[in-house]
Amino acid sequence: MLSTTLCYGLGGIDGLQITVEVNLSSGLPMFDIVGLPDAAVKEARERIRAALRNCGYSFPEDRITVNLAPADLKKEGPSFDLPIAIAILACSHRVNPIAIRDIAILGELSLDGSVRPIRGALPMAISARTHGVKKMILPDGNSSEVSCIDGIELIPARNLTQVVRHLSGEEKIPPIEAAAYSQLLKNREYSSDFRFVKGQRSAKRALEIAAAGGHNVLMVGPPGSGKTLMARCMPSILPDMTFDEALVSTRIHSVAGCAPESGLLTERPFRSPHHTASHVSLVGGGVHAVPGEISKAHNGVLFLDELPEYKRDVLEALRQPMEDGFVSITRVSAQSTYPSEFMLICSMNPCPCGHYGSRTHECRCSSAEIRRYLSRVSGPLLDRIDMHIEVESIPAERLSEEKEAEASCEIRKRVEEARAFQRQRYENSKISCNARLGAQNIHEFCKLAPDARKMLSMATETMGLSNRAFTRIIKVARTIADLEKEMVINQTHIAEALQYRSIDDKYWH
Amino acid sequence: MSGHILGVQGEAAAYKFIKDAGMRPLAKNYKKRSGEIDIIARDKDAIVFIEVKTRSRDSFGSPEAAVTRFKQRSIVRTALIYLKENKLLSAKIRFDVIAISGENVKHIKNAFDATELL
Repeated sequence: MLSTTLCYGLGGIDGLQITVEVNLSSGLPMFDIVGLPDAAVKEARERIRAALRNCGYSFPEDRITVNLAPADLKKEGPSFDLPIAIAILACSHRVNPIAIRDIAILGELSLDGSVRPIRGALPMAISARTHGVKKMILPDGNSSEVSCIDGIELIPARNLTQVVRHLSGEEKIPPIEAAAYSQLLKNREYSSDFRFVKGQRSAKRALEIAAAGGHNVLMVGPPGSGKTLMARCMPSILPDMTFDEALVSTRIHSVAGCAPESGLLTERPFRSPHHTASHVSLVGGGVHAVPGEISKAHNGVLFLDELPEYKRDVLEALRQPMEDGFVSITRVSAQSTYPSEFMLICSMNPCPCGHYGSRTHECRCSSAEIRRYLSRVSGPLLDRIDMHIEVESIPAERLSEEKEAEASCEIRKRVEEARAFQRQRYENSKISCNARLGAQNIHEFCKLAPDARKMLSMATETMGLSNRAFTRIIKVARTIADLEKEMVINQTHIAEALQYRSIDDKYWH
Repeated sequence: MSGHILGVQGEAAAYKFIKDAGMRPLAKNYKKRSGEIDIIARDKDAIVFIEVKTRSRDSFGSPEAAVTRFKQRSIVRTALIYLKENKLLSAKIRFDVIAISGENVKHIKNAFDATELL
């Protein structure tokens, strides 16, 4: 007696369709799972045996052979428990074998027969929809995560008995109702708001430009000047994610096993790994090649506080994914490519004591110490950061006289307008924002006024800019022009953009 | 009472028990180089291999717990030889344990299977 059903495994951020075939035959009673199962899949035998018995179903006294096809692909994790259990019940006709042939079933079983949530339910559901699967049974614990998907009937399951009753038509489980994305966006609340950041007008202006163009930012300044606070305010001025962006981000989080409780990730992710982070945790890796912080920050912000404290090889590992917008991780058992289009925000002190170049405090460091401290951040990395800004500490008396500053929502309006202006320009290309412009697109999309061109070539000569720095200045100038809704980049835009490049001359000379 | 006499008494009790349960005994103390099977019986269309475990009291743990993996393996191997000899390899097959402690007789159907035992 043979029965088959569908299940899904994970390959990167995509679901892989796997056919679960169960055959019962007479002969020496055995329970074998073939098709390259890993330890967790093999252990399914014990969970299924106990779950079936504890739910009052008899465990077949036959030889049970389970095949997970395609047989050359390694199968991982416990999500095969439920489909195997249901297929076994179908073999003994407790469930109609025809009813389960074209539906996908996912779920881990506990010994008492209840269904536990699994990792990566969202990418699996999306892939099932693309493959034309009409119906999917998945753990109830994953239902909020997948609630944004429509076009596929998703059945939340709490326990084995419930699934059997549903399949035999005794008691139907109502499918998950798809929630509209616009509904999810409404109730956004931010813990940090630029309203509470006093002074720092120039730094805020720079961060606004960065948000409008998706540029990377380095903030240099003494301790306590508000660098970290401003960085934490960034999500509040970034534009809303589009539905597709939100799906990709949530898929990455789902694969990493940290999808938000509420379901879809509606807020742009803000990741701030501690400076002791290893390069595996940042870039991704491990036995199963899981995504790292840079992929979790996809479409959002990766904030590295105290940049020179990070290990050098960790920072250097960021260079390639920053350029490409994706990262390929290869391990013995898995090979995955994850997107990594993040906005990098870094902050650092100018010297070990933190007051080098400050007007209020005196620096106690020797020039050798300062040089050693600054040299921990490599030139190539600095080159990839579009905007370098100096954050000065504000004297206490000015802090108290300053009135409440502009709120984040006001800034966000301008950012959204600038982004809309960009989208119009990039309508027929794959570019999402100015920071993602490649060198080959610069000529097409960034038109410079003659005086702006002249100024730029002069600056290139006197400042000794690299080719990459040159294109990055044009990109920042493009964003400044977008904020003013100007089609052509003029001299003032270039001048402001150049200003965000001038501090590496001051410190790293 | 010596262990051997206790075991023989237990097996006799088990023999009576399975007959009362409607099973038809096929062989008793089937011995091969790979091990020994206490009782082989036919239960409807299934061939059942039964291991009898007897204890005078429970202080050393329950009798069924004494059917270790090692013992299971020797039963499965011996069962294969029996099935081959009698051309029954494609029949329905089951491994049971009958646990006897004092007056108590417990029949555990499908107590183990041949998964990863061969």
